[in-house]
Amino acid sequence: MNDVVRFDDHTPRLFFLAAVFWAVVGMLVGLLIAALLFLPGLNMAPWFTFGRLRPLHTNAVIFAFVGNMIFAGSYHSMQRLLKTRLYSDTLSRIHFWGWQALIAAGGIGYLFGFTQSREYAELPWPLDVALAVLWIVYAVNFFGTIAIRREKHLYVAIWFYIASIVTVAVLHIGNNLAIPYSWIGSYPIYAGVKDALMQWWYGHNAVAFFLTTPYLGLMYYYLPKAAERPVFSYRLSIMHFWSLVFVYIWAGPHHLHYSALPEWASTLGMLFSLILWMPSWGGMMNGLLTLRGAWHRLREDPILKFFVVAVTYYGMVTFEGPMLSIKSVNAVSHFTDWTIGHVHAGALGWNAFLSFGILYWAIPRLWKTELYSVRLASVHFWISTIGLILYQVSMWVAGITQWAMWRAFEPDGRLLYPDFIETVIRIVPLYWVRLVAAILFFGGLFLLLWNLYKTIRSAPADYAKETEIRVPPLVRDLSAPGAVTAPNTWDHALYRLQHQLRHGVHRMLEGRAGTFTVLVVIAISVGSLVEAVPLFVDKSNVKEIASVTPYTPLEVAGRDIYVREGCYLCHSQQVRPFRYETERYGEYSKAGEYIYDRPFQWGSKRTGPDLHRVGGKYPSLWHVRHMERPDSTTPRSVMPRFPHLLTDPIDVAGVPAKLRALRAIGTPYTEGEIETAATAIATQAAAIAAEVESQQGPAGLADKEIVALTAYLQRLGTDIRWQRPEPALPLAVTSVEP
Amino acid sequence: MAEFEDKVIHELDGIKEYDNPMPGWLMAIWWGSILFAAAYLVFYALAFGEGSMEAEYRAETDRALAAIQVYLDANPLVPSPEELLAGARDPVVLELGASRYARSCASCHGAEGQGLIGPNLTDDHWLHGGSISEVFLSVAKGWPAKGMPPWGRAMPPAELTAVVSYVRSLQGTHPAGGRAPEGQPFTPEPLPET
Repeated sequence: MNDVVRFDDHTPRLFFLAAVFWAVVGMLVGLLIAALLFLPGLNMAPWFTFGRLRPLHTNAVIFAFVGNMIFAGSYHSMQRLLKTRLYSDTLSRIHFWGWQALIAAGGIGYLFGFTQSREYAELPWPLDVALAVLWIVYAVNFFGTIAIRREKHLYVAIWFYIASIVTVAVLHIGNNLAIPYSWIGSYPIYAGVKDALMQWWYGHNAVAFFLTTPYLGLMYYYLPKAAERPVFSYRLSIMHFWSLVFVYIWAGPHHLHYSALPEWASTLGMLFSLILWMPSWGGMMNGLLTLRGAWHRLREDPILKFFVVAVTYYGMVTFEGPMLSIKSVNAVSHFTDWTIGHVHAGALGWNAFLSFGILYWAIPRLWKTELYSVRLASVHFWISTIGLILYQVSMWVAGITQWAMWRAFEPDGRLLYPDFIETVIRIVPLYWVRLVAAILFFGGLFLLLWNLYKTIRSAPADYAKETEIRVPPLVRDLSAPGAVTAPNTWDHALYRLQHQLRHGVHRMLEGRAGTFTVLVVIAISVGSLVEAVPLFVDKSNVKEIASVTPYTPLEVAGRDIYVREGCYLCHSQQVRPFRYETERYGEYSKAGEYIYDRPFQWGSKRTGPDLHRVGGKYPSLWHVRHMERPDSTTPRSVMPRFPHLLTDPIDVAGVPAKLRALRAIGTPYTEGEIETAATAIATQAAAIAAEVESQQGPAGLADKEIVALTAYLQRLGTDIRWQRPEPALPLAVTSVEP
Repeated sequence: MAEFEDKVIHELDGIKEYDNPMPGWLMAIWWGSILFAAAYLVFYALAFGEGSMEAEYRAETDRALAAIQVYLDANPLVPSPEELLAGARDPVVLELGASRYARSCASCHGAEGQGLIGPNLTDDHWLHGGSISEVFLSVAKGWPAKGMPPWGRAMPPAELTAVVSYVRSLQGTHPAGGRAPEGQPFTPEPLPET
C-alpha cells in the first residue's frame, strides 16, 4: 500500500493548455505591434498604442507562454524523475490559477498604462508582490516534492529547475525593490546608473534563468524521451550546468556598453559573456549528440525536427550573444533592430520550437491518445521555420542599415541623413518582411492549436485516471557500513563519507538537494555582488555634477506620463560617446545627470531619435503639435498620435505623495516644496501654456497633461552646459556681408 | 563515432546516461576564452584605465574635425547676395529650393510660408533681419534658442542656398491664414531682371 505512487497529471495538463492559450495571445499581440510599429494609423490611443501593447506582448510570451511551459514541464517530468506525486494538490491549484490571474491582471493593466517601464519588469508593485508570493508557492511545491522523493539522485533536469527557481526569486525581488506612492504606482529604490545596472542584471538573467536554464531542464527530459537515445555525456552536463550558473549572472552589463555605466562594469559583462559561449554550446552539444543513432528518424518525426532546430538555434543564439557583447560589435547592434532579431531568434527558435516539440510529444501521452496528425505537425514545422528565418534575416539587414545610416557623414562634416525619419523610412520594407514572418509563425501556431484540439477530442473517457507506479519510499542507505546503527565516532563518519563518495563528489551532491541548492545560491551570488556592491559603495562610479537638480513637481508629473505611455520602448535617453551621436543629438550622457531618474529611461531600441538632449531643441508649441499629430511636424513619422494628452488634466493631487516617496529614497525635496507643489505646478504650467499661446498655438492648456510632458521634455539634458565641438558650421558663412 | 565509449552509467525513468568525454575542441575554446578574458582584463587595467571611452571619443573627434577643416579650406561656400537674389528668378534653383523647403521648413513655417510654429515668411516683417544675407545667416546658423535649427549642418550647400532663394521668392505672396507680422519691417531688395 505504501509502495503505490499516483502521479498528478491534472496539474501539468492544465499548465500545458494555459501555455498554448497564452502563446496564441502573446504572438497575436506581437503580430499586431509588428504592424503598429510602421503603420501609425493603426494605433488607437490611449489604450492600444505600441507603447502600451509592447509590454503585453513580451510579458505574455515570457511569463505566460514560457512560464506555463516551465511549470507544466517541470511538474510533469519531476514526478517521474523523482518517482513521487507532487507535494501538494492545493499548492498546485493556487499556483495555476494565481499565475493565470496575475498575467491577465498585468496585461489588462498595461493597456491602462499601469507600468514601471523597466524592460521585462513592467508589472506594477502590487503584482510584483503577487508574483513573488506565487513564485514561493511554486518553490514550496517543488522543493516539497524533492523532499518526499523516492529516488535518491537528482537527474540533470532537476538541477536546472533548482537553479532557475532560486535565481528567478533572487532576481525578481532584488530588482523590484521600490517605494509605493499610490495603490498602483511606485519608484524603484535605485536611481539612474544604479537602476540601469540592477535592471540589466535582472533583464539579462531573466533570459538566462527564465528562458534558458529551465528550458535546458526540459530538453534533458523530453529530448532523450522522444529520441529514445541515451544522454551523450554526464560529465558534460556537470561542466555546463555549473559554469552556466556561475558565469551567466555576470553578463548583464553588456547591455550598457558606451553608456554612463562605469567601464569596468561593462568590461566584466563583456568578458564573462565570452566565457559563456562554450558552456552554452556544452548544452547544445549534449542535445545534438544525444540524437546520435536517431538521425534517420528525423525524416518522419516532426517532434525531433522541432527539437533539432531548437537546439541548433540555441547554439546559434548563444554564439551571436557573446559576439554582440563585444564592445565594438555592440556599438553597431545596440539601439537597432539587430537586438530585436537576436531576442526573437532565442524566443522563437529556442523557446517556441522546443515548446512545440514538447507539446506534440506530451499532450497525446497526458491524454492517453495518439497525435491527431503527424503530417499537420510537419507542415507547422516548415511554415514556422521559414517564418523564423525571414524574421531573423530582415532584422539583421534592418539593424545594419540603421547603424550605417546613423553614422554616415558628408566630407564637409554634415550628417548624410540628418533627419532621423529618413533612417526609419528606409527600413519600412524590412518591417513588412518581418510582418510576413510573424504571420507565417502565427499561422503555424494555429495549426498546432487545431492539431492538439483534435488530439484531445480523441482522448478516451478515462484519460484522467491517475497513473500508478509501485516504488518503495526512500530510506537511508542501510548497505553503508555503520550507516544508522553504529556509534557516531569519527572513524565511522569518515567511513560513511568514503562510502558516499564512491561514485564521485558530484554524485554525492545529487543525493543532497539542500547542499546542492546552497551551492547554486553561492554560485549566483559571486558575480552579482562583485558587480553591484562597488557601484553602491564607491561614489567615484557616479561622479556628482553640482548643476544637476531634482525635477520640479510639474516635471515629475510629466515624467510619469512619459513612463506611463512607454516612450522608452522607441526612444532612448542615452547619447553614446560617438561623433555621429554627439553631432546628431548633442553632448554624450554623463552618469551624474541621471541621479534623480527613477526609473531610468535609457531604453534599448531607437525606433525614434534619442531624447536625452531634446530639452530646448524645439519650441514648446512644436511638442504640442507633435504629440497631437506627429506627422504635422515630422512628415512620414511612424509615431502614434497622443491627442488625449491635450484634453486629459494633470493629476495635481497625486504629486505630493510622489514627492514624499522620492524624498524617502533620497531626492532632496523640502517639506515646503512638497506642501506648495500645487502652486509650483500651476505657475510653471501657466508659463508653458502662455509660451504655447504666444507662439500662436491653442489656448487653455495650462491644466492639461501635454504641458507636464512638455515641461519634462524641455528639461531633459539641460542641467549641464554643453556645446557642439567647433567648427560650428561647415560653411564659410561668416564672410557673407550683411 | 568510434572515439566514444557509450557506456551507460545511470538510468532513470527510461532515460539512460552515457559518460562520454567532453569534446576536445569545446574545452580548448573554453579555456581559450578564459585566458583571453584574463589577458584582456590585465591589458585593460594597465593600458586604458579610467575613461578610455572618453579618450577614444576625443581622439575620434579631433581626427574628424581636422579632416573637415581641410575639406572646407579647399571648398569654401561663399554665396554672394547677387547669386542668392538671382536664384529667386531661376526656375531650376526654385524647384530645388521648393522641394527642400517642403521637407524641412514647411512643418514650422507652413506649406506656403504663411507661418505656423515659426514666423510668417511671406510678409515684410523680419525678426532677425530681412536682407538676403541676413536670411541666409539665419537659415545656416539657426536661432537654436528659439527652435530654429542650424541648417548649415543639415543641408547640402546647394540646397541651403536654393532654400534661401526660394524663401525670397515668397515675398509678398500673402497666402490665406498667415501668421501675424512679427519683428521689424524691411523693404525687400529688388530682384535682378531676367
